[in-house]
Amino acid sequence: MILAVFRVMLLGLLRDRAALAMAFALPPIIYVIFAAIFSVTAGGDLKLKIAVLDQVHSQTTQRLLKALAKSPDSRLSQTEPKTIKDIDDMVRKAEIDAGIVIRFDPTSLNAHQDAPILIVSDPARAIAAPIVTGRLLSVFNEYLPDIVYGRSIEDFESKFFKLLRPQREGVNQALESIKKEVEQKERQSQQYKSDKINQLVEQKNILIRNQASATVVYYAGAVGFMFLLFSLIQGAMSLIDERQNSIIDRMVSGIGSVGKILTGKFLFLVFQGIIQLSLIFFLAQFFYGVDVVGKWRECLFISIGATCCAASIGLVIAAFFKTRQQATIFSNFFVLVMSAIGGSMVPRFLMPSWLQEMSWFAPSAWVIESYNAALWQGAGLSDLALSISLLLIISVMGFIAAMLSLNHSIQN
Amino acid sequence: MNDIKSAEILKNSQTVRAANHTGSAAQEKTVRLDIKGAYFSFGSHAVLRGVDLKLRAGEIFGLLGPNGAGKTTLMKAMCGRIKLDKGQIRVAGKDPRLDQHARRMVSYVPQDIAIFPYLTVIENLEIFGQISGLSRHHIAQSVQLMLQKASLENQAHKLCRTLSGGYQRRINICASILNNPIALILDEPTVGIDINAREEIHSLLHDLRDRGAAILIATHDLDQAQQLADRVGFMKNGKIWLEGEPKTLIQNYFGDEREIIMSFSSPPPDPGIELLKDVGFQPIQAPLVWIGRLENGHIDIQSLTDLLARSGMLVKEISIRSPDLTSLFMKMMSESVI
Repeated sequence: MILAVFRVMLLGLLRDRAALAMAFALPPIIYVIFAAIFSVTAGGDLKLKIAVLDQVHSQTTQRLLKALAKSPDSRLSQTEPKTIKDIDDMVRKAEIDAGIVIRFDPTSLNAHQDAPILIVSDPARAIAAPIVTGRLLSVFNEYLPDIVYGRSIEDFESKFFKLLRPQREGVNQALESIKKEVEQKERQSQQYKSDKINQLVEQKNILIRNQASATVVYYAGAVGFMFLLFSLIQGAMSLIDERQNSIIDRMVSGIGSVGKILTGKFLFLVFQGIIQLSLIFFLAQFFYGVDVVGKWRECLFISIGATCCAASIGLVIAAFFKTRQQATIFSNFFVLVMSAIGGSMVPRFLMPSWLQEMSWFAPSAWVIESYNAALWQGAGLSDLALSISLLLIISVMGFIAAMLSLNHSIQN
Repeated sequence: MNDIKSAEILKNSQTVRAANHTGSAAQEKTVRLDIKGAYFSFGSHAVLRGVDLKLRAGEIFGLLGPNGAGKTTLMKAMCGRIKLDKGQIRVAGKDPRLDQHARRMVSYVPQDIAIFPYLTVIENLEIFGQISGLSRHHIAQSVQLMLQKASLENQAHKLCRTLSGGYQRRINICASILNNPIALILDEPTVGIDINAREEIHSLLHDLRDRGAAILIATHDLDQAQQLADRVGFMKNGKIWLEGEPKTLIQNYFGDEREIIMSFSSPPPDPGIELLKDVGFQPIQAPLVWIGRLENGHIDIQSLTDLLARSGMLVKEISIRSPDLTSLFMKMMSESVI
């Protein structure tokens, strides 16, 4: 009986192209799109498109333009702006993410009150301005360190005391020597290490076992569970059709029972869900370098907990609602709210604290955090025991509720 | 008057209760399904109020009654799906609620086409064979046999949703008889299909009956019941009030009476309606078609039509016929005893 129900579900799915696409094509596609977006925004591949207007045309600004063109962190626009208005228009029309206007020669500090370089950006892409600023400073440090040191000395002199002539000559010689060293390195295609300038701030990255970015790892679980809910609830809705056309009546009139019917459906949904999640984690492993293979046991147990939970939620909805239309409206509402609260759409750490607390009521949060803990933080099975147990408890409760509800509707 | 007559008929019908389809009242057959004093309520609403019924091997029983009479609940009880408040149901002597073997011996064919639309005919039959507990070997045999008997061999590998309503109805029945049940319960088995498909289903049921199954058909199609059933039972308000062979019941109830049916071109005026009621007519398709009874089988048609014409009513058509199950059903449903 259980096998018969399983077989019906399998054949039904294989012959329903829309359901097949929903289960096995759409989730990987969405994940690939999310991963493509976040692997860029969260990592070093974010290349902002910029345009530069050089109003000075000095030897230093030429060096700067050359350095910007070489920088791997940004793309220079093919269109060359002639005026500041051109830059403004290009930013307004989103042809570039930010514009750089070189207003004065950056070599000298004292000549002008305003900063020699102006960055033009659109508030709609507010993140662009600080990123471009940071990268511009980095370009100065790497390719024009003599300019940075020279400005620092001028600044020192204006705030403290003037250097003596021999001291000034020594500094000028040193700056010239740094400039030559940079040029020589450039000719040899090597990067100049301006250790002294960078010493103020140093970066340290924890772990990391994955080549992928944290966001790509995060969204594997987030997208996976959201689509798991969608497709398993859809799959469970076969129960509504079967009840409406009396197939369930026929089944329970023989040796069948509500328990056996639901068990057959539950097992198939879990089977379908595991395959669905496996596809996403396969992509995560082989296209984005998420270390799924190294954590396969943890991933398997979390996936079992997640699919059991999603399957029983699907069965409860299918057992409770009388028509597919009612169930679809409710399930869309339910899945979207759960996914939003649980962190499938926006990572939980970006939520306000009250929403983060509330999100623990959504199974999505437990699933996503578990995958994240295993794949990013390297958590083991014992660390995940609580969340997996909770998912299984929800599954058992859901299954019992579905059984009671279906029994009640058949009796009446 | 009517109450007395109904009670008389009820009493008379007891004498023919054991008659089989050959008409031999003396021939007792094995009781396959036995219902005694069945009571069941949904909350305070009594649905079954003391149903007694025996289904015997090799007979087709027509369960007739209006919507809400309790037919579906009775059928559910026969399949062991609900627990009676009082009374008992036995399938081959065992309670189908408690005995899985007894439950397997009763098959149910729902009114809806309860098959899987995305599966082929053969897959559907295999699945329902599995569900009814047949072994793999028996499933293969039974499926082939069913495909032959129901002339479904050419459709075997087609998806059910692509087949006509008639084929789907046949599969609907075949799916329930794969395991050779001793009792088969069908809810409106031929609703919505053409005459040819209906005849094929009748033939399938006759074949099953001839092999010794007890068959109960709940139907609103009284012509079908008259044509197919060896016995019928009229159910209303949770009780079977009248039970027996259709011919015997009609004879016992109507004797030599004939029915006269009159159709009018336009609705009769109020005085005409009063006149029709005075001479014993009642509407069957109000307000254009009326039915009356001829106690001694004679009527002066000319005088009747003249009388009606004087009241401004023009008769379009008059027919005289022997009463049938429809006549009996209408009569029974209007009886105050029920």
